[in-house]
Amino acid sequence: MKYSPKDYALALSSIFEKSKDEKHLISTFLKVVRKNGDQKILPKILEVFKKTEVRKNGGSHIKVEFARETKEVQIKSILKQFSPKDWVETSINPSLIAGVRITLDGEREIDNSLSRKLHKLFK
Amino acid sequence: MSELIHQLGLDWKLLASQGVNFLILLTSLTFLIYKPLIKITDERRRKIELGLAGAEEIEKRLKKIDLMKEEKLAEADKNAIKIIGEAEKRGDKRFEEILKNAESRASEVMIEAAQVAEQKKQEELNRLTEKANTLIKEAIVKMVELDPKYIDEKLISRAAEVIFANGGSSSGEKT
Repeated sequence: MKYSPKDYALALSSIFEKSKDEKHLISTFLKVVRKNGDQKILPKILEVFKKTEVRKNGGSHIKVEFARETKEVQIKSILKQFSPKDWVETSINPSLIAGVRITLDGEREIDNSLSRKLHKLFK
Repeated sequence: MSELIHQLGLDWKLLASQGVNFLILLTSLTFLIYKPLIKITDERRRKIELGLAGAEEIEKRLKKIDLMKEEKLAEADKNAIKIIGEAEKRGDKRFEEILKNAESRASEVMIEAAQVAEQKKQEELNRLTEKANTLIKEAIVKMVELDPKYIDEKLISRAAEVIFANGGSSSGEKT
């Protein structure tokens, strides 16, 4: 790996600022990544890029994990709490047993899952 | 006088020759037998006297040696008693030390045994507590899995309230 995903993401972000020809930029960027043999880290690059862009626009990267398939109403009750600038990812994590865990920018966490409550109760 | 000698039948010459013979014999016997005999006798007497004197000396020395021996024996007895006394004292002291060490070691062993027993008891208690916790957790999880909707709703609603209370994505904390 010649460059880190963060380096690629920052480079991509900076060239987007300078030029408006998105298709051409993306094509060139992918060529460079392929040339460096870094195709494997492409998902990671895109994730870092997305986070960078979200932060640049004043938003947050929010991961919402539910224990199981949840009613739309409940999902909306959570999602409506966030700004449209935020990038919200939802996923299902059965290890939570019940409830929800929300992570903001990979730093702050609101863990209202049964798994955590049981852990706190029996630690 | 000569008449008397004549009447007695004595011959002067014969008497003189016999006298000379006697003198020669006496002189010869004196030098050849008497003096050597006297010398031998004196020598023997001297030897006997010396022997007697030596015997006395030996006896004296023997007595002295006996006395010294008795003194030495008495001293040896005294020393032996002293040594035995000291050895007994040392033995007593050593015995006390050994006894003290043994008591100390026994006490340590007892403490160690008590600690080990306590540790084992604590470990067993922890194991049982852990097992009980696991069983309770499993029971709760199974109960929740039977009807997860209610508790899910509650927890999600509570999370939404917390996010709302914290001002959305602008701040947050672990609850």
